[in-house]
Amino acid sequence: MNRFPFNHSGYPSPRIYASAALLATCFVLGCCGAPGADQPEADPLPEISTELGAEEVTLEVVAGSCDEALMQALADAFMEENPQVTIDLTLDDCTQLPANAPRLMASDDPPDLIRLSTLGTAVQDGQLTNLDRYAEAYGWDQLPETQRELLRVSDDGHTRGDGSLYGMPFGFGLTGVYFNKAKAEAIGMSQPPTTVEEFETLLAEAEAAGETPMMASNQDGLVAYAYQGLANQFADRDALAQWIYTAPEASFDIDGTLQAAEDIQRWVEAGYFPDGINSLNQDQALGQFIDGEGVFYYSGNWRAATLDEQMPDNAGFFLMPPAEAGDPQVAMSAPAGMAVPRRSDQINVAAYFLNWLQTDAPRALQVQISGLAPAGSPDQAMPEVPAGSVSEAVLQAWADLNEGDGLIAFLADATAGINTSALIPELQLLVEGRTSPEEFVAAVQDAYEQELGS
Amino acid sequence: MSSALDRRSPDPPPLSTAPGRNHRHGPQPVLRRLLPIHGARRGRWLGWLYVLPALLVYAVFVLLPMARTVQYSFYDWNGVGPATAVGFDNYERVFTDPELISTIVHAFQLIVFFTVIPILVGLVVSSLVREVATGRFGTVARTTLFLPQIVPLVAAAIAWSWMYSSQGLVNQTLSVMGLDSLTRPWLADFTWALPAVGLIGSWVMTGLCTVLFLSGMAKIDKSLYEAAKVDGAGRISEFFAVTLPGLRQEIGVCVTITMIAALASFDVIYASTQGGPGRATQVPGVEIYRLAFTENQIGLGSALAIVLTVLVLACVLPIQRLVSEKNA
Repeated sequence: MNRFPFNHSGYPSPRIYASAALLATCFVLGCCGAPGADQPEADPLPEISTELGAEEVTLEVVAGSCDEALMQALADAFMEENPQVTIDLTLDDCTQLPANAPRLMASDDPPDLIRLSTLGTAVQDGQLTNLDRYAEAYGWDQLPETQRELLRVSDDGHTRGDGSLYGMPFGFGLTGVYFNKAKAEAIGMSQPPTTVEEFETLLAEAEAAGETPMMASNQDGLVAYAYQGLANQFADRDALAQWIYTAPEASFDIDGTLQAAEDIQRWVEAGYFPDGINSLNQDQALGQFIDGEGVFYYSGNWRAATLDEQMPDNAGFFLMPPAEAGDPQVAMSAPAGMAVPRRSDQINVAAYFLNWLQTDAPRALQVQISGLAPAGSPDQAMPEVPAGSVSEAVLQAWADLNEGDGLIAFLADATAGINTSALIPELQLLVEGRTSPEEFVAAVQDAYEQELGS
Repeated sequence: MSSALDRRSPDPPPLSTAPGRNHRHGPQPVLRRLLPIHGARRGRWLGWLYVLPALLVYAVFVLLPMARTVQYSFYDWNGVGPATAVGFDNYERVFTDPELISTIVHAFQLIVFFTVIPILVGLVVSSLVREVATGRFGTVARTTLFLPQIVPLVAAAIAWSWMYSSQGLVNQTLSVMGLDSLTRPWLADFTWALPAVGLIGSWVMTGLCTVLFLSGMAKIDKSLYEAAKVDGAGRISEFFAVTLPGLRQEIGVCVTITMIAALASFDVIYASTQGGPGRATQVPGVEIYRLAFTENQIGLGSALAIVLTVLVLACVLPIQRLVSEKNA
């Protein structure tokens, strides 16, 4: 009855020894060598070519599902122009893609092009193709430098903003303030404010008129847009950019970041943001603004097409004004960057596609489908948008910014984890008054240092 | 692992899987096992052959990943590039970083909602159902109570986050009752978010416990109830004298399942609050995911996962012993 392995004697049975042996075997088998030591070698880089051959090729592209309409349209347009190329488009959830990207690029079948917002780690791990040679061959160096700053990474992969080019954009996000034209007129706004102080006066008037002054969402931590909008004006643009690019010794504790946190907290206390802002997500905020809740709405240009459709002739847009009248404007803008994995076997074709993205036909798609600011040179003709539309106002703001050096990357793109480890939770604490502006700044810097291991 | 547990038992049979049993039989089984015999030996290898396919699958998909998690926890690794061995640094951080410790505290707070409430409510409801609901009504009642258990937790969390929202059902109900002062966006409230999320767990787990208790009650000898009645026991004393002792094993199963669900919770939190507002509902399950896949700190994530596993075992194993010993 008690035959092995059903031994109930209460004494060490062979079963135990066997299990222990099995476990030990698994440990030994599973743990031979340090993890990550067995990286596959990449083939040598191909000879550079700026022409597509006649040969039929397939380009595997991985992008975010939030860009589905635009990516599909771009792929279709490219294939129509170049029938020998088949674009195999794979879409991944936009919030999961950054987590999946390193694994996709390390897989046996890496994509040829991939949507990436934070490039540093991938460069450190040798996963991306250095695009400098293509930049020279295609003349990308002629484009405004601030547009590509975020796609540059130092050779050691630790600092962004400077160094070799590792990606090219299919458009640019740009954040600023939308306004409900009718409501703005009712509170006496005849033209966009020219200083932060003027803007704050308008918010106070909206509050006094019984309106929700500023629609925004913070379940997803997106008060970050408004926060950075203020920090961009109060802080030195380059110092803040250095922090985002994880330059050595960069600190978040610089002039201006604290003042922006104080302003956000004061605005919440004054009732300028909607009640329960921590329970609102970005789609709900957009929906409420369209439904007439909120005089102003802090968001990005990717909402312009929707607002034109849902609030025809009633939506306007301006950038967060500078601290002092006449100061240069600085606005948060992030390139929608695509990179070429080092182990792609179609690097030339991928680079050709990246160059094509900067030409007129795809630029029109970027503007019309997504509301993004178009990739390419400011000297190219702007894609047509209806006169008087909010899309037009957004594009005008983009053009003005490109005159100066007014673009700065998104705080949340500083490191892969800074958004979930610090910005989202700390902003939620800040708007509830559960953390002080000083603690907020310190906590963001702490999380940053912890992640970068400095 | 087993040595740590054995240390707690008074008279530990080394490395035994069935501690506390048959101590007094002394060395006889060993003799019995040493003496024989070809038949038994052949059976031994034959037995291995039978389990081999399952064992292989188990080894590849359970043991190997576990071993690797242990290994990763001693490295600083981003998941792709070369790793650096860091000894116990990751574990040190798990036990010193207040943010990581708070996730473990939240997991223990969830036990109240995932384990205590469902078992108490389950006991009351099953007692009532047993008395009142017979025949078709009984089946309907059981099915209805079990229904939350078959809804995927993610779907339950999404549905509940609508009900908890500012304009959701919970606040509407409070308004109708004239309790406007209590309305709030529950999942965005620093004080109430964790209890609110916990109640989603209570809602799911109560059905499971009730159905288990009902089937346990069906096994209790009816004559015991009759004897209790003869002795003049009311409903309450009948419950404590007959029902509760008869359900010891079912309660053990419920405590085990729900406690694991509480400590290792992921889906409810991830789908409803993602750990927010602030870090008010952050639990180890979500934190491990965030560390490993968003922050690319595979080592630290693995260390937290190992600590969580040990905690779950440390909570659940004593319960197993408690239930089976008292029942013997």
